[in-house]
Amino acid sequence: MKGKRMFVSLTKNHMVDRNLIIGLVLIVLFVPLFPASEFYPWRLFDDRNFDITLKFLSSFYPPKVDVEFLSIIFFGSLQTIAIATVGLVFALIIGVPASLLITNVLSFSKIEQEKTSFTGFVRYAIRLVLIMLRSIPEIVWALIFVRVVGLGPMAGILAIGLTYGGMLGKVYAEILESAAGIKHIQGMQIGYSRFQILAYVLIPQSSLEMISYTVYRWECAIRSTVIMGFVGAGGLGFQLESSLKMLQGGEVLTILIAFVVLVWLADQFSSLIRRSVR
Amino acid sequence: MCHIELSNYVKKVRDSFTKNSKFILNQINLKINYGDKVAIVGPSGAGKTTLLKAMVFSDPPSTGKILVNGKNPWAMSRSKRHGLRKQFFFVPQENPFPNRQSVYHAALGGLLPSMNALDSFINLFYPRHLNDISNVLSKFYIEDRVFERVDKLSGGEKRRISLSRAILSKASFWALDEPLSGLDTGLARDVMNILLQTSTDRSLTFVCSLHQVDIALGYFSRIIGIKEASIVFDLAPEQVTDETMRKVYER
Repeated sequence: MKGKRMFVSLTKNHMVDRNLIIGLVLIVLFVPLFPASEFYPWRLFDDRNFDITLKFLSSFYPPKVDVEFLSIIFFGSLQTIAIATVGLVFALIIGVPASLLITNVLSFSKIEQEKTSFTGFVRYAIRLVLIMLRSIPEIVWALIFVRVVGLGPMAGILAIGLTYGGMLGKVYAEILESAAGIKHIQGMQIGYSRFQILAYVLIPQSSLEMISYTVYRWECAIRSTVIMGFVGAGGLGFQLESSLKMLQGGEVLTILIAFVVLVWLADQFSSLIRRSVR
Repeated sequence: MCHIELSNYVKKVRDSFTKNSKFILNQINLKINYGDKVAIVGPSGAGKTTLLKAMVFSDPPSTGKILVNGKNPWAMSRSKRHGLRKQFFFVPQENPFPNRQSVYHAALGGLLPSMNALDSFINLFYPRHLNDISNVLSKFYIEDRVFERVDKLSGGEKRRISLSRAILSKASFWALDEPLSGLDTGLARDVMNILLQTSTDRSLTFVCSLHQVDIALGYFSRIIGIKEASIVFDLAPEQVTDETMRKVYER
């Protein structure tokens, strides 16, 4: 080995070459995306468009705050929270087992550096099912379930459960994979069971990420109940749709404020849990 | 029959930079007998950690063979091989426990391989093995920290938790990677005494990699020197001269 010592020169540095190529490819791919998505931000500030926007927004003011309407909003919010929460529980029932099945950090064949395996194939098949679940937008699921179970929250819950189940399964699996490394391989080396690796190594390593992702998804579920309300799947969204249809700007503003409050509450809830786990 | 036997054991990796494959272990022939106390010495990057990992069959060799109790673990079914791992305890250089965990749970890692699923589930919430764990932690002067979070502890204290795990384990083979790193000289000797005493009492096979040549020579009955992926010498400590040591460490 002596006298064969390798000198690292910048001109021959593979890392620099590679990063340069990747960077150029990304730029070439990125530029055509603007015309393709018809994204012309300056049009926002055309005089004509500006007026229209302003008129539309000013029709929202003032918010409608009479007691009767507020109580409708209050119970609508409660129903929205209920739909989002039950939907998310349903999503967890799909997502948690799926993530444990598809993650490669609990696979001994993977850790032992085996090249191909049957279990790898099974993991891939379940991954495809999850992709299918989440690639169909929740509003499409909601439309399907409204046909099956009729108008109301049930359809929204099923729609959230399926779409979010697909998302949670994928992201939990990836969070577990990013928590893996020397510590979890060490667990395998001394003969931990899969449950022990999960409960004593991977989950303590990644609990904060999992909590914040789960609460964030709950927040998203609250928002998607709006869209699903439009197809009759209950909650505040149902209110929003009828107010928009009636051109009741004041009501729309009140409902939007209610959504801001709900998301703020979700945010507070998330930091509360994270503080207590930390 | 010996505890571990490596024959023509080769471990290669592909260097991601030069794209050449590189030996981390090259034609290793080695027998470790039951009850042996072995220190592996050699410069950084010589392959000490990889050799320890090979002994606990953490991943398969590129070529060559390993026999554990006379049997090849890589010819066994995966579940049988994994069951066999419970008899081997490897302590890596990095702390093997997550930071968001109590000292109790970190130390419990030594008992986990011999615990059933129900016991390990209950222990997440209720410390059923507190006595055993406090006893072992007290040997290393950290028993008062048992309910503290691991990340509140100093590097040397974390190191001692890792070693407590080895003492708690029911394994018959210890492979410790640099067990004394992060400990001051006085403490290092204390800790080494406890480790050797325990391994002798339980007639364990004890293999460890060490940077402290004086401790290796003073405490172990067999010294293996490795350099550039190969074994350079394998001698009793009284046969090791300054000359042999210098050959291993010279560049």
